[in-house]
Amino acid sequence: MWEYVKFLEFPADVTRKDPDLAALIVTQFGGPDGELSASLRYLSQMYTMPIPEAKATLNNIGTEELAHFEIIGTLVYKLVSGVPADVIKQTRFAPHYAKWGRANFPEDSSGNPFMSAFFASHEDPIASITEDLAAEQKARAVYEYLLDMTDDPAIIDTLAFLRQREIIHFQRFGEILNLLYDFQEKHPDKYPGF
Amino acid sequence: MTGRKRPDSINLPLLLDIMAHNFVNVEAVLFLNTHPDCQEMLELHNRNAERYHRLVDEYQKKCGPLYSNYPDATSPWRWINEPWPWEINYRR
Amino acid sequence: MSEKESQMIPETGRRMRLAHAYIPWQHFKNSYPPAEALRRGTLFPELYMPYRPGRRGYY
Repeated sequence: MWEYVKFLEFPADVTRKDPDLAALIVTQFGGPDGELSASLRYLSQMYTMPIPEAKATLNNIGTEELAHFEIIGTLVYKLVSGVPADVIKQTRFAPHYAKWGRANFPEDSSGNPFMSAFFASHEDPIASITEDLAAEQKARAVYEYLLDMTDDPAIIDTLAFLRQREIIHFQRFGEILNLLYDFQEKHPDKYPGF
Repeated sequence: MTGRKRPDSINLPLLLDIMAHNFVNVEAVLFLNTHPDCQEMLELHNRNAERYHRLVDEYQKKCGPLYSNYPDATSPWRWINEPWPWEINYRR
Repeated sequence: MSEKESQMIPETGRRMRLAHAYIPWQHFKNSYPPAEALRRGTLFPELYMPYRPGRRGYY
């Protein structure tokens, strides 16, 4: 089960309102390489993993990604809260405002709603963990694209934190891949499909 | 925000210290999941967890619950108190 | 590097095979203090690899 703890993983802040940037950063809230996609990918894949290290790693990283979903939600919220509609009207956030006002909605930077088709969940653990390695690299790249588009020091700190987490997760999934190879060699009879 | 925000509702330096110790736990747990025999990391994990729980106890006594599952809740119910984490200005 | 060495992942003794992906195994050395770890996004100095604008993909 999950329990909410009443603080953020990272002290996410903005130094000024910026609805244009909110409309871009939202892609990590509900886009293909976003945090919701990452979280649901890992929390879907964990059930059929053949080794305990993989179950635990997917569970913990999937949980951490939910905390990242909250961090991105915080950035988007802070970037647009209190901004008058006639200001928003001049920005890339206007199409979002027309649908949802200033509420957060999981969508990409073009306004496409979140879909589970962004990710996969295979019984074959090598296929899933290799997908997860790719997912961490894609998310790292997106954080770099976003870092290229802001000069707000508070947002840079937060995006740099999230980008660094992708690198750590990549390392852990890589270690899981090694452990899966070991398991395949030692226990081919217990491998999924047998 | 409503009238439920009070001057003692958060203690930012203490909260940031808790967040830092929570983060050490996040990292230690991920490492231990793939290195379950690493004695050094296990010790770091346990030392950090002890410090984390002491800081959380101190915070909850002063500022109200960080966990809704909290044995010393007082009336009126303070779990609902603002600011929520996304409403805090961390850089002031 | 000899042919035999090139087939092993350093420090783990794991045999490397073609068409398999491998990541070097991390061994715990040292750690940042809590506040610095949070600021950097990792507990581990050897894994702190910040983005340098203009150097995408190099970390």
